[in-house]
Amino acid sequence: MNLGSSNSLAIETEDLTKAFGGRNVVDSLSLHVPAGSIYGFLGPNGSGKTTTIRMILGLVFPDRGTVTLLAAKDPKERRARLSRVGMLVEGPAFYPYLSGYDNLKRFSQIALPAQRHLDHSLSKVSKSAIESALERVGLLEAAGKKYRAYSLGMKQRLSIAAALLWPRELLVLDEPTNGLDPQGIVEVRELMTTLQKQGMTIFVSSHILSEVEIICSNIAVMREGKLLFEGSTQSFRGSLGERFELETADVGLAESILSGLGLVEPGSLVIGHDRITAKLTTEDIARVVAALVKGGVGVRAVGKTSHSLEEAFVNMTGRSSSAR
Amino acid sequence: MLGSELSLLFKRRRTKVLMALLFLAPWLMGFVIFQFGGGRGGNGPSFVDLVTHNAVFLVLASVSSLMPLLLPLAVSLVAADSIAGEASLGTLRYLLVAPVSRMRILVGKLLVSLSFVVLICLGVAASALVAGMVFFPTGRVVLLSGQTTSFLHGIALAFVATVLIAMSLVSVAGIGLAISTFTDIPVGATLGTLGIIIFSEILSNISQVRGIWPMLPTNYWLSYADIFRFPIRLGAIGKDFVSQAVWLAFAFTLASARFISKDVTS
Repeated sequence: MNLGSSNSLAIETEDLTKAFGGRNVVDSLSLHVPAGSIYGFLGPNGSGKTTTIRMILGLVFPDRGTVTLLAAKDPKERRARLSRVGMLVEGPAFYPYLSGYDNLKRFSQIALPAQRHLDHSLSKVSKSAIESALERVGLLEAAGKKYRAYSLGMKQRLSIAAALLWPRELLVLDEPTNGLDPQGIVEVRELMTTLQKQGMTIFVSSHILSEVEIICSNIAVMREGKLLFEGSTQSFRGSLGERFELETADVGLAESILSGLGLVEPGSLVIGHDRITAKLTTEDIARVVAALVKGGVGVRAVGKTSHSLEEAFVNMTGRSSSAR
Repeated sequence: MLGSELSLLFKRRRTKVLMALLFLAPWLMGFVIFQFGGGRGGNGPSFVDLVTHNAVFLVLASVSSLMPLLLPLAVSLVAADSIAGEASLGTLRYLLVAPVSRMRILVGKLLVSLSFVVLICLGVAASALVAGMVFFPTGRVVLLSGQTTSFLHGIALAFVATVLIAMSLVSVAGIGLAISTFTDIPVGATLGTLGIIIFSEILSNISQVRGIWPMLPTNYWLSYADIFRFPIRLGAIGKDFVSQAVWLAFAFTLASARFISKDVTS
């Protein structure tokens, strides 16, 4: 039942549509999540990300269209596959009157009998498995504390621990960085990269591009229930017109060399007193730097201006609301 | 599943407080009657006037006074929490993707409510029996039909009556579960369930609607008293059994029809 070939899909949706109150929250959505990828599912709040995730997981029934999850299309088979999917949907949810440990225990108690029935390869989740999941997210010391006394960051970590209780093929993480401090965001990103290297597919949604863009191999962008973009992260950056920033003492010479190369759209060049920003593709930047060095311009630094990338993303996804 | 559900229920402080209050009620009642005497009860089998004669009747006096409101309240608190409670916490989505099938969740939750019904009824009865033996005599028991029987036989009859009362509350558990699939707000589901029970009790006191009485879930709730007659009359008890079974089947069908196709957006 493993996903054999490398080009297979962990999740595929076709023409997925769901209306709430007469409005299409998700509209003819076709997603293709390659197995083994970190797939960034982006869009502003209310763009239909969570409803899509709920349909993928069988919580919400689509009005139209199909979901294929780990090669299973039939709803009953798909539910059986869920034992191999770890998830965080719309924030953590646990019993406030139970401790962190007891919550995970309840979760494994209730999940495992159902899974044994569906999938005989799963064994019992032991005390040590619960403890090691708690340790992995840094909650072992707070394991005996009641969930209601947890901070938002701790709650978020507990739900990640729940997703790591037993081995999974796919993680579906809905806004996993919500409520985390910058340190926590970095930790979650590192965890995702580690898990992906272990062979997991990671489907992660976010409304903040920069929080996940660095680690994603694939990106999809939603707006008002419709798919605006799906493809590799690189082509996504290209489509947004990613900008590069060059820092140099000789702005004038650099400008003339850049213009001479003909790689830069004339209007996209912005000259500062010690830096130039320009719209360039990742492939072209190497050629630009080589030409500058050859022409005797001392290049102090080259970098992407992620701030403008975020702005371009906001423009892309927020366009229609400003038009209203 | 059932074990986990039960431990979830009993680890909750609310459940403990609820049970403590219910189990304390017979002691309060016993003490008051001990101090001030039984007097004449109102209509129906109140048993209060019999308590001073025999400890066994404190069991019946307790359960019969808790029957109209407090026992249904306790049951609807737990039953209405089944789905609505999990939905309001958001844990319902995690149960479903665990994955636990929707039918399994419903059956598990129903079994928990039914276990709770049996447990609180037996608990109140046991607590009442001990309280009764502390405050009142323990000799031969005079039945409602006039004969007398041994104290042990009296206890056995009180036990059977308690089981019958638990049976009468099955409809409350079912209705609570059904309503609980329609809302994400546990308090709303509790009030809705309790509302139906109180409405049913009101209707069963209005003789103009006599025609629909047999359909009410509470119509045969006093049938357990027939256990204290000799010979025991099973007519009303049998009808209660059928009424409870029909209400449970109806409520469970409604709950599953609703829950199986429900979009879980909580």
